[in-house]
Amino acid sequence: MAAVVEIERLSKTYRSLRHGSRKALDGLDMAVEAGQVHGFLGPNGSGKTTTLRTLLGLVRADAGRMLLLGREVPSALPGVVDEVGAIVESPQFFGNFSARRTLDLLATAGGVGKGRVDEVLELVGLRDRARERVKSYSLGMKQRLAVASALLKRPRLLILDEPANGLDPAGIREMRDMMRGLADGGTTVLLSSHILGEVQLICDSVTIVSRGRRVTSGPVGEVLAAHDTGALRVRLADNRAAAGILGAAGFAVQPSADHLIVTGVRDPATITRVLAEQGLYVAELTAVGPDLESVFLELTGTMPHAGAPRQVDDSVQVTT
Amino acid sequence: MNLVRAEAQRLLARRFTWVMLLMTVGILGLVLLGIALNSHRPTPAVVAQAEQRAAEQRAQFEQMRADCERFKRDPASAPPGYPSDAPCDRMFDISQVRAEDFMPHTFGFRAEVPTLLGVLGGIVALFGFAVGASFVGAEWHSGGMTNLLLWRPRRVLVLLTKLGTVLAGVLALGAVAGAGYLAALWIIAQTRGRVGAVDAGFWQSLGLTAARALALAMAAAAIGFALASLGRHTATALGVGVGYLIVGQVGMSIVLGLTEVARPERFQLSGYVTAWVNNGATFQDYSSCLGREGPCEPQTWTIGLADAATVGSVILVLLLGAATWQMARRDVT
Repeated sequence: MAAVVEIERLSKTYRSLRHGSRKALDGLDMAVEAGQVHGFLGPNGSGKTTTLRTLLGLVRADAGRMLLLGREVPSALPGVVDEVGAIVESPQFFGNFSARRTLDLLATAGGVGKGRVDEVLELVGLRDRARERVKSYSLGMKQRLAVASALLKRPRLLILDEPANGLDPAGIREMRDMMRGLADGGTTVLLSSHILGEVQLICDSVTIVSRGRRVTSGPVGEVLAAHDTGALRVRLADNRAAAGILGAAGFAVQPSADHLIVTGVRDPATITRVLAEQGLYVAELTAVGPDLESVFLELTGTMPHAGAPRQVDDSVQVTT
Repeated sequence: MNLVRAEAQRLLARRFTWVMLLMTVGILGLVLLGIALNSHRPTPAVVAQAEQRAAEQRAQFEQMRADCERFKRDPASAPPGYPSDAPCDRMFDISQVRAEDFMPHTFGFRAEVPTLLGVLGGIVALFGFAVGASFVGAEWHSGGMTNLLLWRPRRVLVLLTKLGTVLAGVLALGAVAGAGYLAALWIIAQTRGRVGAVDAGFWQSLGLTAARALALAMAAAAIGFALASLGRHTATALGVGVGYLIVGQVGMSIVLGLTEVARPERFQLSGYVTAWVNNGATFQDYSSCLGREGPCEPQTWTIGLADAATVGSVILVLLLGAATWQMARRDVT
């Protein structure tokens, strides 16, 4: 499958007379395959937004190579920008214009027909509020408008930076369905989000970054499988007795309120056999797969610890 | 072409543009109303009285000039401190005494329109400065510029299209307002004042003055635009503008006065603006009279049109060059 986004060794250091220099990207590599919803994850300050802004020509890279839709950017950006819809960070619009005028002006500048404005307003649910000033909008409505502006061009690649920010639960579900629908229709979606549950539900593949470098990447299933500890959730009538038996049998057991977590098990049938031999019968035995959140926290080294506040730049430094 | 159309629509859709437009038209209306209300055609009785008073003053001047000549011939008879080289003819020039000076003001089209065109240029320049600054400053501040760059990533083209749109708007406003303003002044002159001798040469000169006034307004718009673009905020341009008026004009005038610097106008933009609008400006250098006793006629000096054009061009090139360079290089974060 062809890559729609390819990034190699991308570096960017912000320099400021007042604040000194700060390395935002430190040789980042990344690839997004066509037709996928690709999650782009990382802790705050890990370089996600800088990467997206650099791809879109808003920030100048110090070094590295980037391809969008097979063409090198930023030099070829004017030639591919009509096929790339994007929102970066919080939605920003001129507050005194209505949503319709905002989209009309963008459509005029981009040579897009006015009929498309009505379509995207309908799609994002702003049809009936389109004539109100943007400054009267809630954050979620502004977010919908931002998505509408990104969809205006019928993009082959949609880049969304925190698109669910400010959306209500129904809006989040709608956004998820819309992204899935777009991907099913052939649009590639590059999604940066901190709502990892959503990312796990919707994304085909992910790239996780920390301090400007890639920590891991690949299909979501593969990334999760790589961190599968083989843990099992076991529940019985007498959990305490079962814990003693399993511990004596050499299993690592972690008691919980009404169940046990048993790790280091190759064959789950062993559990039921060992317990049955002692007259204990299993009421529940389920595999506990890793979720994206726990994998993310582990890989980026950002797992919270009680009483030890984490600073934003405290995350894993990937070494080459 | 799409971008030009979009920017023109954006300029006209902005409420600030219309507020400033209404304010500009309102101020011009007040200026015209003031001119009309202060213009009185003299009655024969008023003319006769004014001519009598002028004749009396000419007689006084004749006497004072005679005294002046006598003091020069016989310095011993002169009052203490009376300069031996006093320019008697120029100091007591009876040709400068006119009956019109003793009459209520009558608006004269030929005499006053060139100056009033400068007033128009100044008012439209304020409009241009504010609208030019807001057109790009508000876009940066609101994030609209970022959105636009996601659609049209040719940054310099975007910036220059915005600038061109503002300049075209100021030119259009200046041309329409200028035509209406001149027509109104003509009507006032016809009904409540006097037109004076207006020949082809006058109209040609007036046309050039109007062109320079329009150019001044467009330059102000470009400066406001460049400052706001550099600071990514309308307030940057307005702050620099107000700061210049306070520090560069008022403060500098005080400092230059205290230090008795010769030809102080050369250090202030106002001198060059005056010279630009009026096709050159002559100033008196009072520092040439320092240390002298009695009457002294200060030396005069001139800022020419070319000097004003050079200073203006340098400022424009520097500011627009910096704004364009920064637009091409900056990280949009």
